[in-house]
Amino acid sequence: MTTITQPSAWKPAQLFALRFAICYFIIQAVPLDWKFYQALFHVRAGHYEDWLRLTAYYPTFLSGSNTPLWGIASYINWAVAAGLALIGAFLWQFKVLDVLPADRYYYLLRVLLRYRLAVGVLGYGLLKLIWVQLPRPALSDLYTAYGDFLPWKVYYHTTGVGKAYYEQTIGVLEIIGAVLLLFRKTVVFGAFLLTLLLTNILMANFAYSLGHHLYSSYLLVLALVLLSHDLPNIVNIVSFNRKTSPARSRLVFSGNFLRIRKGLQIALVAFFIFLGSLIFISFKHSDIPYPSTPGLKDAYGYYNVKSFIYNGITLPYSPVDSLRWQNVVFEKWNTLSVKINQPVKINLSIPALEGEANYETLGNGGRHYYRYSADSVHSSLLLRSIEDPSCFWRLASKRPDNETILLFGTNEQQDTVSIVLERQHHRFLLEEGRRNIQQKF
Amino acid sequence: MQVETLTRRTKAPIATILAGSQAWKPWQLIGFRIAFIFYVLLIIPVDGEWYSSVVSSKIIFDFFNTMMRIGGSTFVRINTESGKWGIASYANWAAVFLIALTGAALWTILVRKGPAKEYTRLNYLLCVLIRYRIAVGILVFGFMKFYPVQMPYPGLGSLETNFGDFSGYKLYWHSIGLVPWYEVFLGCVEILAGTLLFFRPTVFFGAVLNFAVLYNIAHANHAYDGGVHVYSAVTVLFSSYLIAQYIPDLWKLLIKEEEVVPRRYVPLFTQHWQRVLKTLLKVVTVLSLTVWYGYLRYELHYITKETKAPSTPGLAHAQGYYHVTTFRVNGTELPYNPLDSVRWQEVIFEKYSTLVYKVNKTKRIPLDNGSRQENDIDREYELSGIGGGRTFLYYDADTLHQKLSLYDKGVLNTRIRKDREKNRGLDTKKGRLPDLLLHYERPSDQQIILSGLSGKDSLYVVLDRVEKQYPIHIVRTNSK
Repeated sequence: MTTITQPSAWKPAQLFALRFAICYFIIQAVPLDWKFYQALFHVRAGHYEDWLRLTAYYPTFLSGSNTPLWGIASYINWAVAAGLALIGAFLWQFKVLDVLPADRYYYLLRVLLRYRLAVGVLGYGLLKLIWVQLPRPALSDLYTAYGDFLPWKVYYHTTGVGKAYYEQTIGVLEIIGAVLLLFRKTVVFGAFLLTLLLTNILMANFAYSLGHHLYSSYLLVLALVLLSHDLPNIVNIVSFNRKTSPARSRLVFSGNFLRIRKGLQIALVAFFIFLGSLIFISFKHSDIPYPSTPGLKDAYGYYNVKSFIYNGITLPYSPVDSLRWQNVVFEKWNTLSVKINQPVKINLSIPALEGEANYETLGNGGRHYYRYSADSVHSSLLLRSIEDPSCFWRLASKRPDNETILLFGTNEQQDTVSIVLERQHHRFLLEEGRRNIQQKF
Repeated sequence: MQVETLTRRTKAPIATILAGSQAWKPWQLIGFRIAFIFYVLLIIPVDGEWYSSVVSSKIIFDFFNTMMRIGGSTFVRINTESGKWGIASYANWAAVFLIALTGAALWTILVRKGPAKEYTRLNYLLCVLIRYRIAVGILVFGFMKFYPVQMPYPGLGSLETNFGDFSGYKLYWHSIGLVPWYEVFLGCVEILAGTLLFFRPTVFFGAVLNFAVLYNIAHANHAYDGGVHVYSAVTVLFSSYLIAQYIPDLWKLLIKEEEVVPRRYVPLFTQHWQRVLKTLLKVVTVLSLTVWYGYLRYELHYITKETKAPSTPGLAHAQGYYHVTTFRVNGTELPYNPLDSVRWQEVIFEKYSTLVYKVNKTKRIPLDNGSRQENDIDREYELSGIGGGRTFLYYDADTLHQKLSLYDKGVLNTRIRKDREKNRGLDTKKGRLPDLLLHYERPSDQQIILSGLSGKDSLYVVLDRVEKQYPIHIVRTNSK
């Protein structure tokens, strides 16, 4: 059974607000959308991103190309939820549903918000702690001009290159905030911490078009509602020096309710230990979110295109030639990026939890990306353009010495090419930093 | 001055307890003595430098700026890498703490005959000192971001630089400078955080906001070698002391869930003239530090145009990115080659009077933060922390004779830098010959031909403008 320690009187307006809030947050926080269950039944057990996506449940009633993605109109789904909640709160007045005292509903609402917020923040906290959400930029990125990135990619890279455990600390703070939500007495501290963090995250989402402004403002609202519970008392003390009694009432669990509660708590903690381990294992055993297939052996590096023969014609160095490759980066994995004087069809999609998908190419407008596979039959490399998968190069490679790679072959239109790549050694100011001022860059 | 608890605003009648009447425990007394000396030494300088610069302020803005940057003396400085960038840079705090321990021991011995029972009043004064110290410090930076000039918008020279050729701090600063409204927002938060500390009812929230903002700034300074981690972190120490004043009450209410009767305490002025004087002082101080100082900052950045980014307009309609189509040095044409260490690969005309060219050669570059300067030629922000073989030149354009006198901004020598710090308004161009003296022709809107001397070499350079849409400027809208 559950009992309330100190029942309190609710005014009609407060009751209506409570009922509205319950309907509204049930719509937004309880997975009622069938798509959630579709995702749940299609979870691949070893893929952290599938599990993580479940923690980021956020219902959308209206979606598709006509739904606004940015600006105030993008909150259209909130208006739909509010509309439904208004109807719910109105119907609720007819007593039929009113089986429990308001205090108990209020407490249960807070429980819902606490757990929803904790679940939402824990997953992303773990991602930051393990340095997966905003990873270090790849070598191709270091050879991409600053202005050639979309703003969100600049933000991701900038955060990703921070030292001193900066990103990890933000992750730890998120985890602390979420854990504080799990205990009734520390909810206020968790909500306070998360309000500060989420405000910053939300503003950054707007500033750099990170694409998660709806979800982060949703989490911020949860934190604010939780905080509003204790805020009047805190203000009473710290601002007005008034005599203050602790928060009105709480729910005491007993019997089966106690057991259910314990079980849920243990399940939650177990889930996140599982998820954290999964992310950690993925991080240790691969380059997530970069591809895990290893690249050409000993090829990692930046290469000047020393010679470029296209259909038998030698094209000299030129910054304006739209055919000639200017320089090439071999990543540690099976990605090759090329700088050509040809506009990149920039991938405008926002960073999503796609594991090994094309994180490296998203938001990069400076280089052309190819994913390659070794073709042992033709002893060649098959380079497939990520921008346009119908474009490919089938190239044989030779290594006269450790610093040179020769590539020759044809593309999908049977144009022939013969390329000499010469490795360049570059000291990055970004890596060597400003501490040693005697160096040249 | 009489002291009593604040009962005026309370609704419910509460037991009036004279806050000062309760004796403190011995550990509280000793702890306070340590804290008092520690914080006072971190706020009030004991050497003459700060005082003399206050006195020698030539203009009212300098006076404000020096006053608001008050900070304790440095007793210990460790000249190692860690002493500048890492954990050892906090050695001064340890030194101050040792002094505080010693001082508190002496204090305890000296007062052993008639020990004070409590330090309520002194603690109040310490809190006031800390509140004003945090407020003035954060307001300086708040207004810099508000205008927003602390992190200028990255110029074309930066947009064309590869990500790996920046130093970490430059990337961090650019990432904020890139979104001016976000920088303004951060400035507003800082101004709010400072202003909240002027008023007793909002001190707690101001302290929490300062703690959060400055912790983030200090950690970011470590993450990107920003160099002002100690200055930021000391505010976290200050805010902690203010927050600590409220912790017993909040703990009792929220964790122990007991009724709380706050016994915070304020000085009560009994005489009318005292109250008038106090209100007057407060109004003048607060308005000076916010409205007046805010106006002075506006005047500095928008009227006298003293900023980090250059402000002299560049050659009309020349702003842009140019390919170097032809490059002749002493009559010999050098073909485009990305590995050539002499031939220019690309040229940028900024919207202000800066020309940037790139060659395949490393050079010594300024790595400091780049501060606000009076003259454009000294404004290094645009080039500091940017590698990749770029040379940034300030130019004077003689549009009548179509001549550019260009000065390499990266070669200011140490003497000039030192002089500049000491002697504001020094003309660093004086006595210096231009590094390049070029004649320019503009056969079309899209082309500029430069010819003239670079040192002893004669140059002939044809530049063709490339129209570029930078992805970083893509604003996501529904149409995309």
